[in-house]
Amino acid sequence: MTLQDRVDALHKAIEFKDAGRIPTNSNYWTWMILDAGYKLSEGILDYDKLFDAVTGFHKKYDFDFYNYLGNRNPIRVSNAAGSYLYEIDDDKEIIFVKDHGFMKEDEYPQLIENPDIYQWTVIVNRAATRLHGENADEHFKETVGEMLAYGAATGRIANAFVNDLQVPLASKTRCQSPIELIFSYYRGIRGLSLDLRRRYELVKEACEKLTITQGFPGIAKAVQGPRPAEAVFSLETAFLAHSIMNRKQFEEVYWPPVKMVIDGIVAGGNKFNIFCESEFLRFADFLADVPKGVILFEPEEDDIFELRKALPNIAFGGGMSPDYLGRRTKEECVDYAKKLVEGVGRDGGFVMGQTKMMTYRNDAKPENILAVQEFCRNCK
Amino acid sequence: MGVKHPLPFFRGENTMETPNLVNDPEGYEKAKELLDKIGIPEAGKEGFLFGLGLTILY
Repeated sequence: MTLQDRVDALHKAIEFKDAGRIPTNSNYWTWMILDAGYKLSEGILDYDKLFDAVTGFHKKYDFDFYNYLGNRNPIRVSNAAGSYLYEIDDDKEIIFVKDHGFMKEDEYPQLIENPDIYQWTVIVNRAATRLHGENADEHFKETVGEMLAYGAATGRIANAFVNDLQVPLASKTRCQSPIELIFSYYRGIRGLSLDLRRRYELVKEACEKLTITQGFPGIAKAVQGPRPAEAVFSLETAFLAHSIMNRKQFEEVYWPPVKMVIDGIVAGGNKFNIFCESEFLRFADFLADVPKGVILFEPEEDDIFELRKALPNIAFGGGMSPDYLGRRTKEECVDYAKKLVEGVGRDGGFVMGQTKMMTYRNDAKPENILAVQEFCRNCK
Repeated sequence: MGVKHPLPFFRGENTMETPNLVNDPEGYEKAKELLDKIGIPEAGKEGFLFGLGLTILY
């Protein structure tokens, strides 16, 4: 199968047309490393082993596109800078990442004044312990070297998928609504939750400023142009911070930059991938007017059958949960896969995937993945 | 007890008093100068620092 065959099948599914089979999406992450027989620390810190794990996963399971191609857990970079936010426990096979908030609650005016300078001189300053002191210059060079090595390692994997394995990238451009920066990188879940109630106007103003400095108007224009031939989508995003927002906050703060890029994608006749943690049903009407054939939406905790009723215009990816893939039999998994095709993709608009970022060994049994993949290949 | 990576967790507050590459305003400019020596193109330096910052905070 060529890369173009996979793109064509995925596009047909997203456009509610007959793809001749059910295309598939991998939402497998560090599970790949464990399945390859490596310890988590080996697969994350040794880039040759990471390459082997990710490419080996495709050779074994053969998905049509991947949410993860080694591009997560840049621990070597953050260690070189001295931020030490991760801890890997190889015995328990878990990665512990601390919910961190290096930005203080009264610093929104500084963020609004100049986001780039503020991020580097205040937040990174607090996190990067090795960029202080007499050896700061050498540690900085080491950190930059690790950043370049990380880019080279993930680039090597992407090139192997496109050129050798004939698998498309999800996209070549990724962006997130600016509040995600504050949520995931600056204030943390608890901090932003409090800010949305205590200093809402400042949060809103910061997001309006970040919409400009993060280049959303330019992205909205760029996605009107041709899609890169090696990618399924012109753009991808991930929704996370909506999980702590009410409808008013979502409408005023989260949605405007997302709407901006969706309008660009629609104008260009292109496609958009939305990966959505937590649940989204309460915001579903925001997507109700998007034309059919534009968005592949990957829900996590929603009832996907309810989402289908709410959004007949949106293609959905996902559906198979770790409860099935990790704990049930092959037959039960295939029966549920049939139910998903019937209930969500009867008229097209469905790509089989997983409801969670598959991380732990018990999230899936290899034989269950293979059984669902075989069903999808043969499903007309 | 499993093998733990990386070093023990750091939750302290850095001092601004020691020479460093992340203080304002000298650190930002000095970091850009070092990027010059490493070979990062002028046009991409601020974007690189922003991405590097996010990676450090990730």
